[in-house]
Amino acid sequence: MTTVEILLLLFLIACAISVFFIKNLLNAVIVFMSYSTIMAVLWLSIESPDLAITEAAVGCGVTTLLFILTLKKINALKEEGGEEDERTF
Amino acid sequence: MSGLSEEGKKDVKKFTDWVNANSEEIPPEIVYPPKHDDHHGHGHEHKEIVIPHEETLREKMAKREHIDENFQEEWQNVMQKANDDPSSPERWYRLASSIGGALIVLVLLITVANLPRFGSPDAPAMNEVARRYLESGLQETGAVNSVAGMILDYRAFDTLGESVVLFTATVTVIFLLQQKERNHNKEDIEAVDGNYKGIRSLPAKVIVAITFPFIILYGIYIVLNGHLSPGGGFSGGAIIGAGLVLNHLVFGQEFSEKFINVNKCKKLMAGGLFVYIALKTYSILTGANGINSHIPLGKAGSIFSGGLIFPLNICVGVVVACTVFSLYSLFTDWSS
Repeated sequence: MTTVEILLLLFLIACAISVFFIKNLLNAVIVFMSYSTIMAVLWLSIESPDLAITEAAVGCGVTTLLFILTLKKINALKEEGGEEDERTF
Repeated sequence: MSGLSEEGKKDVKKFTDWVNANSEEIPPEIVYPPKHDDHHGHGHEHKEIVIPHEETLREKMAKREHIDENFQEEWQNVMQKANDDPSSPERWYRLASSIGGALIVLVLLITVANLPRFGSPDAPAMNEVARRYLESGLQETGAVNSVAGMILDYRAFDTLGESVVLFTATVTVIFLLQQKERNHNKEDIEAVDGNYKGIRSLPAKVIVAITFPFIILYGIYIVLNGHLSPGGGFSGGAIIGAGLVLNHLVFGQEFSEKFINVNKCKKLMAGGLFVYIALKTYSILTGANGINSHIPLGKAGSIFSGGLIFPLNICVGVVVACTVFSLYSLFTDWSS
């Protein structure tokens, strides 16, 4: 196991734990997305490129998108006291 | 009122007095046209329009606000109680769930610690099945990428199940959300169908304009090259779907409709699944009964090789790309 892999694993654990403790839902989704990105690199490092591609496409892309759309749908993207940013969604 | 004559003032006074005296007798709902005693006969039937009386509406609104306030107070009380009182059940639930969660984590960690070393030859995964796949996979399936050979030839029935699951999930979501839309009246539907114009940020538009063709091209490459290199229908389809979603998000509905919309998605999904089932039925019938298959395996390493894996990859890619895009379209409601 190389140093890079150990570092990535530490980041992975940090991301996984911090998702629980982040109050802002949008930030939690973004951290979850970085978890998937790290996971994709780790799949590549144990020689499963098929899984890496799928993880990158589904884990980072599609899941994050659906999460954000759901947050939008339940009006959770509005910041407290502030107005919703209309440019993004 | 000052402009009125003496007579007019008297009339207004009379009218307001009458209203005050009879306000109890005004029915809560006005029915139009008013019901007559039956002396016109049954010649024609009026459609009744029920207009709720303003007072009833106000009462209903007030009641509703009252309920909301009550609910919030109640909820805050419950939470407060849980925090203050050590013997309240809410506190025990929290404690129990923490202990339960910790136990599950412990069991999982012990299991992981007892797994055989990664890549060790004694692991149960390294049995004769895996050896067979690796040794004679290229000969039997004609696919250089042994993963594609496995999931679309040896275990193609599994992949069919996965595609059907995706298809069913999407169809269910489409059914549910359309059912909901059908109940709206016409004004609501026009609001829901509001044309999404895209985002205003210029950098996002420029970046997506540059990268969008390459994303789609890369997805198509992964789908078509699935039997030769890592990837395949599922991952390639997800990339294409994500690219289409990005396009819709940044450039708006009008531009996106030039490529694809939900109706096309439905047809493509059903078509892809049908072609998959047809091809695989042929392969199962011939392969399982020892009949000579007429589909050549091709020269290993060329693009037209691997027998049925190439078209099957395309079918899976189409189903997944359309699933991703239609799920996205159904979850968006740009009017709110």
